[in-house]
Amino acid sequence: MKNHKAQIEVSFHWIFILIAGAAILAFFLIITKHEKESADINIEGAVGERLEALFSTIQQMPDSINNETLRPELEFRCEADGHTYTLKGGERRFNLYSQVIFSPETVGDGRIITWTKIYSTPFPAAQILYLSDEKTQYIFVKEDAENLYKILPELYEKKLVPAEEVQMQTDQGFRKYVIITKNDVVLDSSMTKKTTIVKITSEGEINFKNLEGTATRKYSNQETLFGAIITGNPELYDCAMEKLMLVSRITSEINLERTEHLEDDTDDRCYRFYAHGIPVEYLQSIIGNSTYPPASDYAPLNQVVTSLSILNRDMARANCPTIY
Amino acid sequence: MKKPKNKKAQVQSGETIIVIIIVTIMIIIGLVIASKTKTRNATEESTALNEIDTMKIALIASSLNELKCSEYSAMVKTCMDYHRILSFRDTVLEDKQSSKNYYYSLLGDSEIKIKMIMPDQEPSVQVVTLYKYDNISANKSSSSVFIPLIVFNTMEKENYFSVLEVRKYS
Repeated sequence: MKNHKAQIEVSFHWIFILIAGAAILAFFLIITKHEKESADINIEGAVGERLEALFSTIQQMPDSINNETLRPELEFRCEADGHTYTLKGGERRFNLYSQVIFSPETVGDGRIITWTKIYSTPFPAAQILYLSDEKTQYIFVKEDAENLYKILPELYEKKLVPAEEVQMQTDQGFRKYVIITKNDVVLDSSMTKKTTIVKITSEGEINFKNLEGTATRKYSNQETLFGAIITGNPELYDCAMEKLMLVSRITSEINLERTEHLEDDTDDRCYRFYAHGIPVEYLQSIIGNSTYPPASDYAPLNQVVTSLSILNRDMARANCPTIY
Repeated sequence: MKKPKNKKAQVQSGETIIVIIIVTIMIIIGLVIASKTKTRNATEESTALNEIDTMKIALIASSLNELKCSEYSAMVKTCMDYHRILSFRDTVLEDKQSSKNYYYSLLGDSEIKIKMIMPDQEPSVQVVTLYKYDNISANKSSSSVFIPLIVFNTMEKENYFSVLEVRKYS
Protein backbone atom coordinates (compact mmCIF):
# COMPACT_ATOMS: atom_id res chain seq x y z
CA MET A 1 0.00 0.00 0.00
CA LYS A 2 1.38 3.42 -0.89
CA ASN A 3 2.09 5.79 1.96
CA HIS A 4 0.20 9.14 1.19
CA LYS A 5 0.95 10.69 4.57
CA ALA A 6 4.01 12.74 3.41
CA GLN A 7 2.20 14.06 0.29
CA ILE A 8 -0.67 15.47 2.42
CA GLU A 9 1.79 17.07 4.84
CA VAL A 10 3.74 18.74 1.97
CA SER A 11 0.49 20.18 0.48
CA PHE A 12 -0.55 21.48 3.88
CA HIS A 13 2.92 23.10 4.24
CA TRP A 14 2.38 25.20 1.09
CA ILE A 15 -1.22 26.14 1.96
CA PHE A 16 -0.02 27.32 5.34
CA ILE A 17 2.73 29.47 3.77
CA LEU A 18 0.27 31.02 1.28
CA ILE A 19 -2.21 31.96 4.02
CA ALA A 20 0.52 33.44 6.25
CA GLY A 21 2.02 35.34 3.29
CA ALA A 22 -1.36 36.75 2.27
CA ALA A 23 -1.99 37.93 5.85
CA ILE A 24 1.41 39.71 6.06
CA LEU A 25 0.87 41.32 2.62
CA ALA A 26 -2.62 42.53 3.60
CA PHE A 27 -1.19 43.99 6.83
CA PHE A 28 1.45 45.99 4.92
CA LEU A 29 -1.08 47.21 2.36
CA ILE A 30 -3.31 48.54 5.16
CA ILE A 31 -0.32 50.28 6.80
CA THR A 32 0.71 51.86 3.46
CA LYS A 33 -2.83 53.12 2.77
CA HIS A 34 -3.04 54.62 6.26
CA GLU A 35 0.37 56.31 5.92
CA LYS A 36 -0.57 57.76 2.52
CA GLU A 37 -3.80 59.27 3.90
CA SER A 38 -1.87 60.66 6.85
CA ALA A 39 0.78 62.15 4.52
CA ASP A 40 -1.92 63.80 2.37
CA ILE A 41 -3.44 65.42 5.47
CA ASN A 42 0.02 66.59 6.60
CA ILE A 43 0.74 68.10 3.17
CA GLU A 44 -2.62 69.91 3.22
CA GLY A 45 -1.85 71.29 6.67
CA ALA A 46 1.71 72.31 5.76
CA VAL A 47 0.62 74.07 2.56
CA GLY A 48 -2.19 75.82 4.44
CA GLU A 49 0.19 77.05 7.17
CA ARG A 50 2.64 78.28 4.58
CA LEU A 51 -0.08 80.13 2.67
CA GLU A 52 -1.42 81.73 5.85
CA ALA A 53 2.08 82.98 6.72
CA LEU A 54 2.52 84.17 3.12
CA PHE A 55 -0.78 86.08 3.11
CA SER A 56 -0.05 87.64 6.53
CA THR A 57 3.46 88.79 5.66
CA ILE A 58 2.59 90.03 2.16
CA GLN A 59 -0.21 92.12 3.62
CA GLN A 60 2.31 93.86 5.89
CA MET A 61 4.16 95.18 2.80
CA PRO A 62 1.87 97.89 1.42
CA ASP A 63 2.16 98.96 -2.23
CA SER A 64 4.19 95.89 -3.07
CA ILE A 65 3.79 93.52 -6.00
CA ASN A 66 5.09 89.96 -5.90
CA ASN A 67 4.86 86.76 -7.80
CA GLU A 68 5.46 83.21 -6.65
CA THR A 69 4.94 79.73 -7.97
CA LEU A 70 2.12 77.82 -6.33
CA ARG A 71 1.63 74.26 -7.56
CA PRO A 72 -1.60 73.30 -5.75
CA GLU A 73 -4.81 75.00 -6.79
CA LEU A 74 -6.71 77.00 -4.20
CA GLU A 75 -10.49 77.27 -4.36
CA PHE A 76 -11.96 80.33 -2.66
CA ARG A 77 -15.56 80.39 -1.44
CA CYS A 78 -17.84 82.82 0.34
CA GLU A 79 -20.47 80.93 2.28
CA ALA A 80 -22.47 81.10 5.50
CA ASP A 81 -19.42 80.07 7.56
CA GLY A 82 -17.32 82.84 6.04
CA HIS A 83 -14.58 83.45 3.50
CA THR A 84 -12.63 80.21 3.10
CA TYR A 85 -10.25 78.43 0.78
CA THR A 86 -9.40 74.77 0.22
CA LEU A 87 -6.69 72.97 -1.69
CA LYS A 88 -8.24 71.45 -4.79
CA GLY A 89 -9.32 67.94 -3.98
CA GLY A 90 -8.68 68.49 -0.27
CA GLU A 91 -11.25 68.52 2.50
CA ARG A 92 -9.74 70.89 5.03
CA ARG A 93 -11.09 74.45 4.84
CA PHE A 94 -8.93 77.39 5.87
CA ASN A 95 -10.87 80.37 7.12
CA LEU A 96 -9.80 83.90 6.16
CA TYR A 97 -11.20 85.56 9.28
CA SER A 98 -9.13 88.71 9.19
CA GLN A 99 -7.38 88.87 5.82
CA VAL A 100 -8.96 91.19 3.26
CA ILE A 101 -8.22 89.24 0.08
CA PHE A 102 -9.81 89.85 -3.30
CA SER A 103 -9.26 86.84 -5.56
CA PRO A 104 -11.01 84.86 -8.29
CA GLU A 105 -12.65 81.51 -7.41
CA THR A 106 -9.59 79.45 -8.37
CA VAL A 107 -5.95 80.46 -8.05
CA GLY A 108 -2.79 78.42 -8.41
CA ASP A 109 -1.19 75.61 -10.41
CA GLY A 110 1.37 78.09 -11.72
CA ARG A 111 2.51 81.64 -11.09
CA ILE A 112 0.43 83.63 -8.58
CA ILE A 113 0.51 87.42 -8.40
CA THR A 114 -0.02 89.46 -5.22
CA TRP A 115 -0.53 93.21 -4.98
CA THR A 116 -1.01 94.99 -1.67
CA LYS A 117 -2.67 98.37 -1.31
CA ILE A 118 -3.75 100.43 1.66
CA TYR A 119 -7.42 101.32 2.00
CA SER A 120 -7.62 104.81 3.52
CA THR A 121 -10.49 106.74 5.08
CA PRO A 122 -8.40 109.01 4.87
CA PHE A 123 -6.06 107.46 7.46
CA PRO A 124 -4.74 103.97 6.63
CA ALA A 125 -7.60 101.72 7.72
CA ALA A 126 -6.78 98.30 6.24
CA GLN A 127 -4.39 96.44 3.99
CA ILE A 128 -5.93 94.86 0.90
CA LEU A 129 -4.37 91.90 -0.89
CA TYR A 130 -5.26 91.40 -4.55
CA LEU A 131 -4.45 87.78 -5.38
CA SER A 132 -4.63 86.35 -8.88
CA ASP A 133 -2.63 84.14 -11.22
CA GLU A 134 -1.32 83.82 -14.76
CA LYS A 135 -4.37 81.79 -15.77
CA THR A 136 -6.81 84.67 -15.25
CA GLN A 137 -6.85 87.37 -17.95
CA TYR A 138 -8.17 90.89 -17.42
CA ILE A 139 -9.44 92.54 -20.63
CA PHE A 140 -9.91 96.32 -20.41
CA VAL A 141 -12.01 98.10 -23.02
CA LYS A 142 -9.85 100.98 -24.25
CA GLU A 143 -12.56 103.64 -24.49
CA ASP A 144 -13.92 102.87 -20.97
CA ALA A 145 -11.11 101.69 -18.74
CA GLU A 146 -7.71 102.65 -20.13
CA ASN A 147 -6.78 104.49 -16.92
CA LEU A 148 -7.51 101.35 -14.85
CA TYR A 149 -5.47 99.23 -17.28
CA LYS A 150 -2.47 101.51 -16.73
CA ILE A 151 -2.75 101.30 -12.93
CA LEU A 152 -3.02 97.48 -12.77
CA PRO A 153 0.54 96.12 -12.39
CA GLU A 154 2.24 94.57 -15.41
CA LEU A 155 2.64 91.21 -13.68
CA TYR A 156 -1.06 90.53 -14.09
CA GLU A 157 -2.28 89.00 -17.32
CA LYS A 158 -3.98 92.05 -18.81
CA LYS A 159 -4.98 93.28 -22.22
CA LEU A 160 -6.32 96.56 -23.62
CA VAL A 161 -8.69 96.20 -26.58
CA PRO A 162 -10.83 98.69 -28.52
CA ALA A 163 -14.58 98.29 -27.99
CA GLU A 164 -15.20 96.95 -31.51
CA GLU A 165 -12.65 94.15 -31.00
CA VAL A 166 -14.11 92.74 -27.77
CA GLN A 167 -16.57 90.44 -29.58
CA MET A 168 -13.69 89.07 -31.68
CA GLN A 169 -11.84 87.83 -28.59
CA THR A 170 -11.64 84.02 -28.52
CA ASP A 171 -10.61 81.55 -25.85
CA GLN A 172 -6.80 81.56 -25.56
CA GLY A 173 -6.69 78.81 -22.94
CA PHE A 174 -7.02 80.91 -19.79
CA ARG A 175 -9.01 79.56 -16.86
CA LYS A 176 -11.04 82.79 -16.48
CA TYR A 177 -11.57 86.09 -18.30
CA VAL A 178 -12.72 89.36 -16.69
CA ILE A 179 -13.81 92.11 -19.08
CA ILE A 180 -13.88 95.64 -17.68
CA THR A 181 -16.15 98.06 -19.50
CA LYS A 182 -18.79 100.77 -19.10
CA ASN A 183 -21.08 99.42 -21.82
CA ASP A 184 -22.74 96.14 -22.78
CA VAL A 185 -20.54 93.76 -24.75
CA VAL A 186 -21.25 90.79 -27.01
CA LEU A 187 -18.95 87.82 -26.64
CA ASP A 188 -17.75 85.04 -28.89
CA SER A 189 -19.39 81.72 -27.91
CA SER A 190 -16.03 80.21 -26.90
CA MET A 191 -15.64 82.88 -24.21
CA THR A 192 -19.08 83.04 -22.55
CA LYS A 193 -18.59 80.10 -20.19
CA LYS A 194 -15.34 81.41 -18.71
CA THR A 195 -16.04 85.17 -18.74
CA THR A 196 -17.36 87.65 -16.19
CA ILE A 197 -18.09 91.18 -17.39
CA VAL A 198 -17.51 93.90 -14.77
CA LYS A 199 -19.54 96.85 -16.03
CA ILE A 200 -18.97 100.19 -14.31
CA THR A 201 -22.54 101.53 -14.58
CA SER A 202 -22.00 104.77 -12.68
CA GLU A 203 -19.72 106.36 -10.08
CA GLY A 204 -19.79 103.90 -7.20
CA GLU A 205 -21.77 101.11 -8.87
CA ILE A 206 -20.79 98.00 -10.85
CA ASN A 207 -22.56 95.04 -12.44
CA PHE A 208 -21.10 91.53 -12.48
CA LYS A 209 -22.48 89.71 -15.51
CA ASN A 210 -21.87 86.05 -16.39
CA LEU A 211 -23.79 82.91 -17.36
CA GLU A 212 -25.35 82.74 -13.88
CA GLY A 213 -26.90 86.20 -14.22
CA THR A 214 -26.28 89.82 -13.30
CA ALA A 215 -25.44 91.16 -9.84
CA THR A 216 -25.20 94.84 -8.88
CA ARG A 217 -22.73 95.96 -6.22
CA LYS A 218 -21.38 99.22 -4.78
CA TYR A 219 -17.74 100.27 -4.49
CA SER A 220 -16.34 103.15 -2.44
CA ASN A 221 -13.11 104.10 -4.19
CA GLN A 222 -10.50 102.88 -6.66
CA GLU A 223 -9.13 100.27 -4.24
CA THR A 224 -12.50 98.57 -3.93
CA LEU A 225 -13.15 98.90 -7.68
CA PHE A 226 -9.93 96.97 -8.27
CA GLY A 227 -11.21 94.46 -5.74
CA ALA A 228 -14.27 93.87 -7.94
CA ILE A 229 -12.09 93.59 -11.06
CA ILE A 230 -9.64 91.13 -9.54
CA THR A 231 -12.34 88.82 -8.12
CA GLY A 232 -14.74 88.94 -11.06
CA ASN A 233 -17.16 87.26 -8.62
CA PRO A 234 -19.90 89.09 -6.68
CA GLU A 235 -20.01 86.66 -3.70
CA LEU A 236 -16.24 86.77 -3.13
CA TYR A 237 -16.39 90.57 -3.53
CA ASP A 238 -19.09 90.68 -0.83
CA CYS A 239 -17.02 88.62 1.64
CA ALA A 240 -13.93 90.78 1.21
CA MET A 241 -15.89 94.06 1.38
CA GLU A 242 -17.64 93.06 4.64
CA LYS A 243 -14.28 92.39 6.26
CA LEU A 244 -12.80 95.59 4.82
CA MET A 245 -15.61 97.70 6.26
CA LEU A 246 -15.34 95.94 9.64
CA VAL A 247 -11.60 96.67 9.83
CA SER A 248 -12.23 100.24 8.70
CA ARG A 249 -14.79 100.75 11.51
CA ILE A 250 -12.38 99.33 14.12
CA THR A 251 -9.50 101.57 12.96
CA SER A 252 -11.84 104.59 12.90
CA GLU A 253 -13.01 103.77 16.44
CA ILE A 254 -9.39 103.75 17.65
CA ASN A 255 -8.78 107.10 15.94
CA LEU A 256 -12.01 108.45 17.47
CA GLU A 257 -10.84 107.51 21.00
CA ARG A 258 -7.47 109.09 20.29
CA THR A 259 -9.11 112.29 19.02
CA GLU A 260 -11.19 112.51 22.21
CA HIS A 261 -7.96 112.24 24.28
CA LEU A 262 -6.30 114.94 22.16
CA GLU A 263 -9.35 117.19 22.49
CA ASP A 264 -9.09 116.99 26.31
CA ASP A 265 -5.33 117.66 26.39
CA THR A 266 -4.85 120.16 23.56
CA ASP A 267 -3.61 123.73 24.17
CA ASP A 268 -5.61 126.93 23.46
CA ARG A 269 -3.84 127.55 20.14
CA CYS A 270 -4.96 124.27 18.66
CA TYR A 271 -8.34 124.03 20.42
CA ARG A 272 -10.06 125.89 17.52
CA PHE A 273 -9.71 122.75 15.39
CA TYR A 274 -11.67 120.74 17.98
CA ALA A 275 -14.32 123.40 18.51
CA HIS A 276 -17.93 122.17 18.16
CA GLY A 277 -16.66 118.56 18.13
CA ILE A 278 -16.04 118.59 14.39
CA PRO A 279 -13.26 115.98 14.15
CA VAL A 280 -15.22 113.66 16.44
CA GLU A 281 -18.31 114.18 14.29
CA TYR A 282 -16.35 113.36 11.13
CA LEU A 283 -14.97 110.15 12.64
CA GLN A 284 -18.39 109.08 13.87
CA SER A 285 -19.74 109.69 10.37
CA ILE A 286 -16.94 107.57 8.87
CA ILE A 287 -17.81 104.76 11.30
CA GLY A 288 -21.51 105.04 10.50
CA ASN A 289 -20.96 105.02 6.73
CA SER A 290 -18.37 102.22 6.64
CA THR A 291 -20.91 99.47 6.16
CA TYR A 292 -21.44 96.85 3.49
CA PRO A 293 -23.71 97.02 1.68
CA PRO A 294 -24.09 100.79 2.16
CA ALA A 295 -27.48 102.41 2.90
CA SER A 296 -27.52 103.92 -0.60
CA ASP A 297 -24.00 104.44 -1.87
CA TYR A 298 -20.60 105.54 -0.58
CA ALA A 299 -20.94 109.25 -1.53
CA PRO A 300 -21.54 110.36 2.12
CA LEU A 301 -18.46 108.38 3.21
CA ASN A 302 -16.29 109.90 0.49
CA GLN A 303 -17.53 113.43 1.36
CA VAL A 304 -16.66 113.13 5.05
CA VAL A 305 -13.29 111.50 4.20
CA THR A 306 -12.46 114.56 2.06
CA SER A 307 -13.57 116.94 4.85
CA LEU A 308 -11.43 115.15 7.43
CA SER A 309 -8.38 115.17 5.19
CA ILE A 310 -8.75 118.96 4.66
CA LEU A 311 -9.08 119.51 8.42
CA ASN A 312 -6.03 117.31 9.10
CA ARG A 313 -4.01 119.24 6.51
CA ASP A 314 -4.95 122.54 8.18
CA MET A 315 -3.93 121.16 11.60
CA ALA A 316 -0.56 120.07 10.21
CA ARG A 317 0.00 123.52 8.68
CA ALA A 318 -0.76 125.11 12.08
CA ASN A 319 1.77 122.76 13.73
CA CYS A 320 -0.96 121.19 15.87
CA PRO A 321 -1.19 117.46 16.67
CA THR A 322 -2.98 115.91 13.72
CA ILE A 323 -5.91 113.49 13.78
CA TYR A 324 -3.86 110.99 11.74
CA MET B 1 10.86 -5.74 15.41
CA LYS B 2 9.01 -2.44 15.65
CA LYS B 3 9.49 0.11 12.81
CA PRO B 4 10.73 3.55 14.12
CA LYS B 5 8.08 6.41 13.71
CA ASN B 6 8.85 8.97 11.01
CA LYS B 7 8.80 12.41 12.74
CA LYS B 8 10.61 14.33 9.90
CA ALA B 9 7.47 16.09 8.44
CA GLN B 10 6.31 17.18 11.91
CA VAL B 11 9.66 18.89 12.57
CA GLN B 12 9.53 20.64 9.19
CA SER B 13 6.00 22.05 9.88
CA GLY B 14 7.12 23.26 13.28
CA GLU B 15 10.09 25.04 11.67
CA THR B 16 7.78 27.02 9.33
CA ILE B 17 5.56 28.12 12.20
CA ILE B 18 8.56 29.30 14.24
CA VAL B 19 9.94 31.29 11.27
CA ILE B 20 6.61 33.04 10.78
CA ILE B 21 6.35 33.86 14.49
CA ILE B 22 9.89 35.32 14.51
CA VAL B 23 9.21 37.40 11.35
CA THR B 24 5.97 38.74 12.89
CA ILE B 25 7.76 39.72 16.11
CA MET B 26 10.46 41.53 14.11
CA ILE B 27 7.81 43.43 12.10
CA ILE B 28 6.05 44.49 15.32
CA ILE B 29 9.35 45.70 16.88
CA GLY B 30 10.10 47.66 13.68
CA LEU B 31 6.66 49.31 13.75
CA VAL B 32 7.03 50.30 17.42
CA ILE B 33 10.45 51.89 16.76
CA ALA B 34 9.10 53.75 13.67
CA SER B 35 6.10 54.99 15.66
CA LYS B 36 8.30 56.30 18.50
CA THR B 37 10.59 58.10 16.02
CA LYS B 38 7.58 59.64 14.27
CA THR B 39 6.15 60.90 17.60
CA ARG B 40 9.48 62.52 18.53
CA ASN B 41 9.73 64.20 15.09
CA ALA B 42 6.15 65.45 15.38
CA THR B 43 6.92 67.02 18.80
CA GLU B 44 10.01 68.79 17.41
CA GLU B 45 8.04 70.00 14.39
CA SER B 46 5.28 71.29 16.64
CA THR B 47 7.79 73.30 18.71
CA ALA B 48 9.31 74.80 15.53
CA LEU B 49 5.83 75.70 14.20
CA ASN B 50 4.96 77.40 17.52
CA GLU B 51 8.07 79.55 17.28
CA ILE B 52 7.25 80.50 13.67
CA ASP B 53 3.73 81.35 14.79
CA THR B 54 5.08 83.61 17.55
CA MET B 55 7.29 85.45 15.05
CA LYS B 56 4.33 85.84 12.68
CA ILE B 57 2.17 87.36 15.45
CA ALA B 58 5.04 89.66 16.48
CA LEU B 59 5.40 90.86 12.89
CA ILE B 60 1.67 91.52 12.63
CA ALA B 61 1.50 93.31 16.01
CA SER B 62 4.46 95.57 15.24
CA SER B 63 3.01 96.45 11.81
CA LEU B 64 -0.55 97.36 12.85
CA ASN B 65 -1.48 100.68 11.21
CA GLU B 66 -3.82 101.35 14.15
CA LEU B 67 -0.77 101.82 16.41
CA LYS B 68 1.74 103.55 14.16
CA CYS B 69 2.84 107.15 14.49
CA SER B 70 1.87 109.48 11.70
CA GLU B 71 3.85 112.51 10.69
CA TYR B 72 1.69 114.82 8.53
CA SER B 73 -0.45 111.82 7.47
CA ALA B 74 2.56 109.65 6.57
CA MET B 75 2.98 106.52 8.66
CA VAL B 76 6.32 106.19 10.43
CA LYS B 77 7.42 102.59 10.42
CA THR B 78 9.47 102.14 13.58
CA CYS B 79 7.30 104.20 15.87
CA MET B 80 4.04 103.73 17.75
CA ASP B 81 1.75 106.53 18.85
CA TYR B 82 1.20 106.78 22.62
CA HIS B 83 -2.44 107.86 22.39
CA ARG B 84 -3.20 105.21 19.76
CA ILE B 85 -1.79 102.58 22.11
CA LEU B 86 -4.16 103.67 24.89
CA SER B 87 -7.11 103.92 22.47
CA PHE B 88 -6.36 100.47 21.04
CA ARG B 89 -6.30 98.99 24.54
CA ASP B 90 -9.63 100.61 25.46
CA THR B 91 -11.31 99.68 22.15
CA VAL B 92 -10.37 96.01 22.45
CA LEU B 93 -11.11 95.84 26.19
CA GLU B 94 -14.59 97.26 25.66
CA ASP B 95 -15.05 95.14 22.49
CA LYS B 96 -16.10 98.16 20.44
CA GLN B 97 -17.09 97.33 16.83
CA SER B 98 -16.61 93.59 17.63
CA SER B 99 -12.88 94.25 17.80
CA LYS B 100 -12.18 91.42 20.24
CA ASN B 101 -13.15 88.70 17.74
CA TYR B 102 -11.29 90.43 14.94
CA TYR B 103 -8.06 90.73 16.91
CA TYR B 104 -8.39 87.17 18.19
CA SER B 105 -8.47 85.97 14.57
CA LEU B 106 -5.37 88.09 13.90
CA LEU B 107 -3.36 87.57 17.10
CA GLY B 108 -4.72 84.25 18.39
CA ASP B 109 -3.77 82.81 21.77
CA SER B 110 -1.31 85.49 22.73
CA GLU B 111 -0.62 88.39 25.03
CA ILE B 112 0.85 91.64 23.76
CA LYS B 113 2.33 94.28 26.05
CA ILE B 114 4.29 97.46 25.59
CA LYS B 115 6.75 98.54 28.26
CA MET B 116 7.60 102.24 27.96
CA ILE B 117 10.41 104.02 29.76
CA MET B 118 9.30 107.53 30.76
CA PRO B 119 12.16 109.04 32.75
CA ASP B 120 10.32 112.28 33.70
CA GLN B 121 7.27 110.54 35.09
CA GLU B 122 6.31 108.42 38.11
CA PRO B 123 6.37 105.49 37.69
CA SER B 124 9.13 105.69 35.13
CA VAL B 125 8.12 102.44 33.43
CA GLN B 126 4.57 102.18 32.13
CA VAL B 127 3.27 98.80 30.96
CA VAL B 128 0.23 98.72 28.71
CA THR B 129 -1.42 95.40 27.83
CA LEU B 130 -2.67 95.89 24.29
CA TYR B 131 -4.25 92.48 23.85
CA LYS B 132 -4.74 89.44 26.04
CA TYR B 133 -6.14 86.08 25.10
CA ASP B 134 -9.02 85.23 27.44
CA ASN B 135 -8.20 81.66 28.44
CA ILE B 136 -4.65 82.04 29.71
CA SER B 137 -3.86 79.57 32.46
CA ALA B 138 -0.67 78.96 34.40
CA ASN B 139 -0.37 75.46 32.89
CA LYS B 140 -0.04 76.62 29.28
CA SER B 141 3.43 76.75 27.76
CA SER B 142 4.46 79.92 25.98
CA SER B 143 7.19 81.46 23.86
CA SER B 144 8.05 85.17 23.71
CA VAL B 145 9.49 87.64 21.25
CA PHE B 146 10.75 91.10 22.23
CA ILE B 147 10.87 93.96 19.74
CA PRO B 148 12.44 97.31 20.68
CA LEU B 149 10.70 100.40 19.33
CA ILE B 150 9.97 104.07 19.96
CA VAL B 151 6.67 105.36 21.34
CA PHE B 152 5.89 108.98 20.48
CA ASN B 153 3.65 111.18 22.65
CA THR B 154 2.19 113.70 20.24
CA MET B 155 0.98 116.09 23.00
CA GLU B 156 4.22 116.22 25.00
CA LYS B 157 6.34 115.86 21.83
CA GLU B 158 8.40 113.20 23.62
CA ASN B 159 9.84 109.86 22.51
CA TYR B 160 9.95 106.90 24.89
CA PHE B 161 12.24 103.90 24.49
CA SER B 162 9.97 100.87 24.59
CA VAL B 163 9.81 97.13 24.15
CA LEU B 164 6.95 95.26 22.54
CA GLU B 165 6.54 91.85 24.17
CA VAL B 166 4.60 89.21 22.26
CA ARG B 167 3.89 86.01 24.19
CA LYS B 168 2.21 83.15 22.37
CA TYR B 169 0.51 80.37 24.32
CA SER B 170 0.14 76.78 23.16
